[in-house]
Amino acid sequence: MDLQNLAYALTQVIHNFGAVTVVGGAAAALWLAPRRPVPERSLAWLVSLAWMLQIASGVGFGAISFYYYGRLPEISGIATVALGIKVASASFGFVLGVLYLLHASRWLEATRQRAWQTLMGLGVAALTAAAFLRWFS
Amino acid sequence: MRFSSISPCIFAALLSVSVAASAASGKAYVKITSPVAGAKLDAMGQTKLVYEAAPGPNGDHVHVYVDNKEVGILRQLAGSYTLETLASGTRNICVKIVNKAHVPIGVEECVKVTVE
Repeated sequence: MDLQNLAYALTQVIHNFGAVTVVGGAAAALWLAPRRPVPERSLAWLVSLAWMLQIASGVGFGAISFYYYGRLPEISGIATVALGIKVASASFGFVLGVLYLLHASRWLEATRQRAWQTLMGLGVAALTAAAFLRWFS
Repeated sequence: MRFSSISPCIFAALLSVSVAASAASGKAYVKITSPVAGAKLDAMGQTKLVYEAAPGPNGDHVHVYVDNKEVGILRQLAGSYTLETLASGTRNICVKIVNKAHVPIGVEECVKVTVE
């Protein structure tokens, strides 16, 4: 088995499950909001961890390329914009998740709801950008 | 169904997999057929790049560059690509084989042309 492809594939596995979790975790928090109690803190841990994995696996793709070829993927145009959106979404999502874990107990219900909506929006933006990155590069 | 009746199908399937695998594991190369090195091109016209490539075991598709700037992504391994109008002067046109992650694997061909 080719180790290079294995490394890319395993990184892709982490990236895919991270993508499911950032969107699914936020969607679950919003979907379950009318029911009490909602395990918001557990979901916030899950989503924050998933955003961290997204960042780590994204860096991992570049690291594997650099290890094997001494260079990073070459993309341009729409793909570059899409990658920028993914990086921004992941960074903001991770920071917002951590802020939620640290301060949400003192936030108003409406503020917590807005935070989940934002996390959901970031997940949707990142996944949408991923499709453009895939097919415009 | 008897084994003897399906064995030719199995053999054909195994053979086709084997042929595909050997094609993928062949040596990677890129050849630019047109324009040729040193060609003089019209600055007002479009230039047709004609190429063929074999990705080898690690390659997947090719990227086209003009003066190190990526201008096209080609998923066909042989064919043509119309370059946008090129600015006057000496231009370096390259076709590089990249892997699925869009990383050049070190196999490329470049031609220098003069655009007037």
